[in-house]
Amino acid sequence: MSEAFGPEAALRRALHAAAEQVEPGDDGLEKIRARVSHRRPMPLPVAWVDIALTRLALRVPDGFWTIWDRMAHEVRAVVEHFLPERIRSDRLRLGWLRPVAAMGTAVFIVAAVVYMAVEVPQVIAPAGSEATQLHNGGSGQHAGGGTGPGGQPYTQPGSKPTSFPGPSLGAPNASACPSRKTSPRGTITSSPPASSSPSPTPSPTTTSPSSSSSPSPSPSDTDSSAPTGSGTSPSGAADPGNSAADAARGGQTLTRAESLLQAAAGARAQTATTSPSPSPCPSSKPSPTSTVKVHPDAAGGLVLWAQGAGLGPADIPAGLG
Amino acid sequence: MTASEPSDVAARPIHVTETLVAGVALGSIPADWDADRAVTELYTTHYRSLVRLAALLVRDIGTAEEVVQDSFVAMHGGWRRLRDSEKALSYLRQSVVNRSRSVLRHRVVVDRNAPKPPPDMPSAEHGAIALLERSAVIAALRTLPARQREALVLRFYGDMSEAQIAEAMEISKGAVKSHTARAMATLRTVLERDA
Repeated sequence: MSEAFGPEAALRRALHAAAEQVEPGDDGLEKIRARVSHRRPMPLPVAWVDIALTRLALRVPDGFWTIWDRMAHEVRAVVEHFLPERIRSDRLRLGWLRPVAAMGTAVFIVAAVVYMAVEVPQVIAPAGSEATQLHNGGSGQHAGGGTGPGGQPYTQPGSKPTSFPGPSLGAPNASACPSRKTSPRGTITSSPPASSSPSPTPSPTTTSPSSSSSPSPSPSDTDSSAPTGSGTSPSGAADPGNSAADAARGGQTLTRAESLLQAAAGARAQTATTSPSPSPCPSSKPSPTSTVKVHPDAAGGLVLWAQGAGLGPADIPAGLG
Repeated sequence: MTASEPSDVAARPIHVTETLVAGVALGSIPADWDADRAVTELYTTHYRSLVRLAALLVRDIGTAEEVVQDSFVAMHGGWRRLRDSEKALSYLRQSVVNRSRSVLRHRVVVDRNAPKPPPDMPSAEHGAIALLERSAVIAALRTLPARQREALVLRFYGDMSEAQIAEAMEISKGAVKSHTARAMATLRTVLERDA
């Protein structure tokens, strides 16, 4: 039969002729044994497992492996019975798992990329906006804070740009005071609560305590932020020149802080009715060195910050904050 | 080309030590043999034929011996899993083919990066390769792609069936048929052109 196919017979003869010229060395078995004996020792846990399996294999009955092989053959036959026809073979082959695993990996990568492209920007954007709000001094809690009437970012003319332009600088009447006296050092600022809606109500927060006015800027229903000379300021309240002196003295700082606190509390109580001072433009006199900022917190309480002239948080009476 | 039937294998004048088919020259190895004894028996029966098979694939006798010895060492390590002469010889064939393929792949890389020797200085392997390629058929066999050459060597030197070749090369039977047919067509063309 093979004689009818010349090329095949010629190839077979040529291959056998070429192979017969190859004579391997006689020391092949010794080399194999040497390599077997010098094999790299297996790790200790693997060696323990190997020893355990060897001992177990030695203890099993003689016919165990025959039964084992028959059972394995039957299991393999059952498995192959349920396999697709094209991957059925004489022996169980799992080579089809390789392309399946490759396809699964590709699908996973594509799905991950699509998920990252769709979901991550939506997650990042709110986080970025929150970060922006935080950076702007919590303008989300302040009605219109940080932006001017035209929606433009508010900056006070003549004042130093700050990184927190929101609460104290965003008051409408602050824009009416282009002088340098509107610097935060000369203001009593009372931020509205966080729950306040962005109403166009003039901010009760800022009352410019111009140096010409009393250092106890008691809010009034009138549009005057002029010095009232109220009794809440027992000493030196009528004389603006004395305010600096009082601040410098520091001996009466506690009394003055109390008066400021009362003034701020009154301002907060009359939030709806307090109008911004129509004549907030300060005089050319320098602003007082004492600065008080009153921030009501979200619960409605007041936090008094007194700065300068020896007024500090430690000077605030307990229970006023 | 028509594939010979498996029954034709016994009718061919093949030396008993040249066969790569288990069960022809070596009886079934008892399962209770240890790895050393199995290696010794398989070495006695199949070592030479395996070295010649590897030599036809890698075209180097020394490398072929190393390939076969490595395969025996690997078989010794996996004897508990094999425990059968058929499985052991199948494992050896597959290991030899795979390791020969790795050798050729590594040789391509080495030849690509190594400096070329002077033309009057033959390499150490030159003698063995020239010995193998004295025949025009073997020289033409060298021009074939690796897979086609493996299929032809296993088919016409190892006298394996398509299933055995497929198992040794880890490809399908259809791929074996395709490789064999293409290799024979190419070989026929080369031999006719040289003639």
